[in-house]
This record gives sequence, C-alpha cells and structure tokens, in this order.
Amino acid sequence: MLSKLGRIDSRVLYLILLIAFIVPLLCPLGLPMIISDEIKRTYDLIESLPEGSRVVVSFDLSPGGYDELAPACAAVFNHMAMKGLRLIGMSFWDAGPSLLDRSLAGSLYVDKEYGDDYVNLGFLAGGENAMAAAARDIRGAFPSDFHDNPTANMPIFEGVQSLKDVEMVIVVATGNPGVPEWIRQVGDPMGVPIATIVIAGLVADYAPYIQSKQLIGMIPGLRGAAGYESLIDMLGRGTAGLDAQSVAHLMILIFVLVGNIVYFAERSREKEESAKEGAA
Amino acid sequence: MNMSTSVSVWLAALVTIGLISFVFKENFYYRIVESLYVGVSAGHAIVLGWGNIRNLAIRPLGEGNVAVIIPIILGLMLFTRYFEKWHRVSRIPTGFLMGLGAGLSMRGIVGSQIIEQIKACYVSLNSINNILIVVGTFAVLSYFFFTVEHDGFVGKSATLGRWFMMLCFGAAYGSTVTGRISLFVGRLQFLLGDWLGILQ
Amino acid sequence: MLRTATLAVTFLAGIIVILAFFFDVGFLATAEARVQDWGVIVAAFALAMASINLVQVNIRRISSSDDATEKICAVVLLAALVVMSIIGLTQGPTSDTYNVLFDGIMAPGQSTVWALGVFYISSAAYRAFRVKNVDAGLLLFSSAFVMLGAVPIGEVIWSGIPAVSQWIVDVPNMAGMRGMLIGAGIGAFSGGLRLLLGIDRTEVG
Repeated sequence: MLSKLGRIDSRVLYLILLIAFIVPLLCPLGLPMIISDEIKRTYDLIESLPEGSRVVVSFDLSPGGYDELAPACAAVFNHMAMKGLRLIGMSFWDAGPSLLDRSLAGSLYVDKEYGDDYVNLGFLAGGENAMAAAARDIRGAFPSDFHDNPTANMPIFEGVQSLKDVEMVIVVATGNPGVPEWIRQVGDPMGVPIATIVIAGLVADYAPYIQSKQLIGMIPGLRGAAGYESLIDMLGRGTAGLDAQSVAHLMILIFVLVGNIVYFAERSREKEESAKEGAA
Repeated sequence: MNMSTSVSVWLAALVTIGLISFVFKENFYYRIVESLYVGVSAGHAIVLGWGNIRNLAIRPLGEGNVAVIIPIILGLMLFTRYFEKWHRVSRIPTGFLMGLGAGLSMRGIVGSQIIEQIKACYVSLNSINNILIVVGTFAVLSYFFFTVEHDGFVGKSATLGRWFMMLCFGAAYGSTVTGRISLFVGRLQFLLGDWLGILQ
Repeated sequence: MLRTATLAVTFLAGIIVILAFFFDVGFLATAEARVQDWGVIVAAFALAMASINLVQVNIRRISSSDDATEKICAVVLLAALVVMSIIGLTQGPTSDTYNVLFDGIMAPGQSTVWALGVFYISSAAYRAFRVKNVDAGLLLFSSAFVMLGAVPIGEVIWSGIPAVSQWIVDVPNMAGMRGMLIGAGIGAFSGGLRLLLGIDRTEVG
C-alpha cells in the first residue's frame, strides 16, 4: 500500500488538488477572517489622510500576479475613493498601465473626475532610473498620460512638482523593480510613507523593511484583500476565494505529511531488509 | 448560470484552459496558446516602448529640444549589435545604462539597505525576540564570511546563521505556496464566475 | 578607443547621479536630470531588443526546423507579435481591439502560467519535501506554520497558529532576511563600484 503511494502518478495529485480548489468555491465554508497588523496599519494610514490628499499608486506588476492582487487593489481603491483621496497612477512594468485601467474601472473611482480625482500616467521604461526621474519631476517624466492626454494642465497636479509633494505611495508589486527601489529613491530620501500591496511570495522578503519602518504597511495578496474588504465592510473576491485557499493549503500540507510517512516507512523497511541480509 | 458573451472573456477562457492542459500532458493546443501569448506580450513591450520614445524624444525634438538627439543616437546605437562589423558600438549605450543603474542603486543601497537595516538592529535586548533579531542577523552575516575558516566560534555562528536562513527559506516557500494558490483561485474564479457564470 | 569611450560613459553616468545625491550644486542637479531623462529614452529603445531577439530565434525555427508543430508555433508567435504591434502603434494601447488582445490573451496567459506553479509545488511537496536532517526540519516547520497562518483554516485547527506564523515571519525570518539584505547590499555596492571604476569590464568585453 505504502509503496503504491510512493509511486503515485503526479496527475492524480493534480486532480485531487483541483477538486480541493473547486469544491469550496462552489460550496463556501464561511471560515473566519484574519486581519494582520500590517493590513490594519495600511488602513489606518489611508484613514488618517485628509480629503483631497494625493496618493501615488505604482502598478509595478505583471499580469502573472494580477489575479492575486486585483481584489486587494479594488478594496484599497474603494477605500481611497470613499475618503476622497486623489489617485496618481503610474507604472514601471509594461503591463502595469493596462492593468491599472482595469482596476480603476472596477472601483468607485469610475464615478470620479478623470484628471482631477485620478489619473493613469502610463508606463516609463528603465526601472529604478525611471522611478528616480518621476520622483524628481513627475510631469516632466510623464508629459502625457496613458490615454495620451497632456498632463501639463491637469488639476490633480496643482502644487505637485516632485513626489515630495504627495502624501503617500502605494506600490502594487510582483517583483523588482518594486518596493526596495521605491524605498531607495523615494521613501528614504524624500520621507514619503510607503505601503505595498504585494504577492504573498514576497511577504517574507519585505519583513525587514516593515520592522525598520521603511515600509509602513503591507497587504499580502488574496488574504490581505479579504482582511481589507472586511475593514471597509465591502466583501468581494478576496473573501470569496478564502475558503478555496484554506482547503488547498491543507491539501498541500497533507501531501507533505503523506510523502514523509511513505519515505520513512520505506527507509525503515530497507534498513530492516539490509539488517536481515547482514545477519544471514 | 449566466455564461459570458464577451469576446475577450471567451478568448481568455480558451487561453486559460489551453495552458492548464499542459499540467496533464503537453499538447498541440497548449503550444499554440503559449506561442500566441508570448508573441502578444513581446508586441506589447514594443508598443509601450514606442510610447516612451514618442513622448520623451520625438515630440520634444519636434518642439525644438535638440538635446534629445543624444539619447536617440544612444538608443539607435543599441541596434548595432545586429551588425557583425559594428556590434561593439552597442556597448556604449549598454555601458551608459549599466553605469546609471549602478550609480542609482549604490547611492540608495548604502542608506536604505545597509545603514537603515543596521540601525533597525539597535534594539534594547530586553526580550527574547529582540535578542533573536540581533543574534540572527549577525549569525547570518557570519555565514557569508568566506574569508574566515568556519570553525570554532565562527563555525558555530555560521551554523546558527544557516538555521536562521532555513527558517527564512521555509517562510518564503510557505508564502510562495500561498501566492500560487491565490493565483489559481483567481483563474478558477474567472473560469467559473466571469466565463461560465456559475459563481455568484 | 571604443573601449575607453565605453568606460568613460559608464563612469560618468554613474558618478553624476552619485555626486548629485550628496552635493546640492546647481550644475550637478541639471546634469543628473539630463542623464536620468536620457536613461529612460535609451531604456525604451532597449525594450525593443528583446522582441527583435525573439523574432530572430523564431525565423530560425521556421527555416531550420523539421518539425511541423515547431514551425506552426513560430509562425503563430510572429503573427501575434506583428498584429499586436501594428494595432498598438496605429490605434494606441487603449483601443478596443488592443484591449481584446490584452485581456483575452496576454493577461490570462501570464496569469495561468504563474498559477500552474501550484501543481508543481504540490508534486514537489509530496515527493521531495523530506525531513532528512535539522535543516530540512526547520524548513518544514517554518513553511507549514506560515502556510497555515495565511489562511483561516489554520486558526480553526489551532487558535495559536496565526500568532506562531506571524512570529516566524517577524522574528527569525526577519533576522535572517535582514542578514541577507545587508550582505546583498554590500555585494551590490562593491559590484557597482567595480563597474564604475572599470575593474569589472563585462559591458566592454
């Protein structure tokens, strides 16, 4: 039995995992929510900003991570729109501007005034250098927005020359250039508070920046979205996906456990056999 | 059940299913979809790159800003690498980009990644957690002292550093699993919700 | 001559942004602004390089491969690249047709490729994640708690799991990551210095 389990076809494992994903999506279990300190800190920072404050949202992500981050973006954008904050969107990844357009279209910003309450500046090539250029002179770096409108006379930029003049930066990140580069070029030298909406895979990497307070808050992927949705009392896709996440996690841990049981059982059997052969 | 009638949703569903099919067996459908998406992604990079060149170089040049000729020439020099005789010329703009990147990261790294991180280790040693933070940081650093023999005190410290790194890698692995699960949940929400309309 | 010019351009581009950061002098600030703006334009040209390489490789696939599937895939890839580029360059990246291709192919394509990782992770978890020694034990302990702490079911299994998970991320993981961050920072700084001073001549061959 155990040796059969050891030789199990990978596709059987995949099928079990697929079922573990689909069943809770179709029949939700209604498990409780987790709201970590980092999520709460981001919420508190946005909550503390006065109406009309300008927040830069840097969409530094690939479509690969968008599914994981979209629910959290929707929740944070809705919170910002409800607070009357103005959103200046930009991106240093080529897919960022199109994805930002989709996120904005799915949020409460869709009812706000473009160019006054929010703007999507588009993409700038060059990674960290482009960030530094935008930080120094935002309209110089983005003379036109993603929709090719000139930025020179947009009301949202009144009184904004560099990123020193904005109240907060939110980096939506799936990798580099992303959070460390923003901290290096804007957060530390300009003293602008930075928070991030980040894929879960980077949570462990950014822990030192949280402890050193170079990063004020962090919303990790889908679970961060679920927590944020409950904080603003607008349940969405983050919450809906939480049960499927739970069961899939459990299934992977069961795979690890069964894999180890099989391994140790076979190892002890091999030891016994070699001991018998030795005795013979 | 309220199935989508949008062209892009249907296209996305067919692409998603095609790529997922690879998990069970590599097949023709998967390979076509893969080629399609790689081609479209490369085209997207060209379009966005051109947008930057148009906004920051061509238009200012048309308005009389002749200084942008320099980066335009540097940019064009990159393409000399496709010509046997002139390929070395492309190293000048490459050097420019590398030097700029190195300078920018150097000026930021010292403050943000070295000094600020060391400063964050200045914590009162009045709790086990604070002691672990300080000890762990220095133990990991000692692991990378390859100029010193890893025996005696340094050896023990390096071993402790390795254990801390194992805890780090475990946390990173756990977080990565969470991330990949979230992504697949997103894909299923798309297939079952946006496309098939089964999910509410 | 060419090598000296490359070394000089590399050094100047780097040293200008470093000096402008530490000294508040008018001409240095102007030079820094210029160099940064130029860097964005050159980087935009560089974006096309990857696509050109892709075109080269696929033209080679069409002309030299004996496999029909291989040829069809290369043709599909090139056609997709050309169609996306033409639509984007003529109608702009926010046009309806462009959005159909972005939403219908590019976004779900990348998203699914990333998501497929979960299947390989699950297979690796079953076949390779063995507690053979202390190192592997620590790895498993840390990953198991971080995984369970990330989802509500962890709290259902044992109410202490979220706290243990948070502690692992905030204390031992944070200390270890910080050590690696400082080490990598020192490495990156010395690498940058070697590049600017011409000791590391990777870019000049």
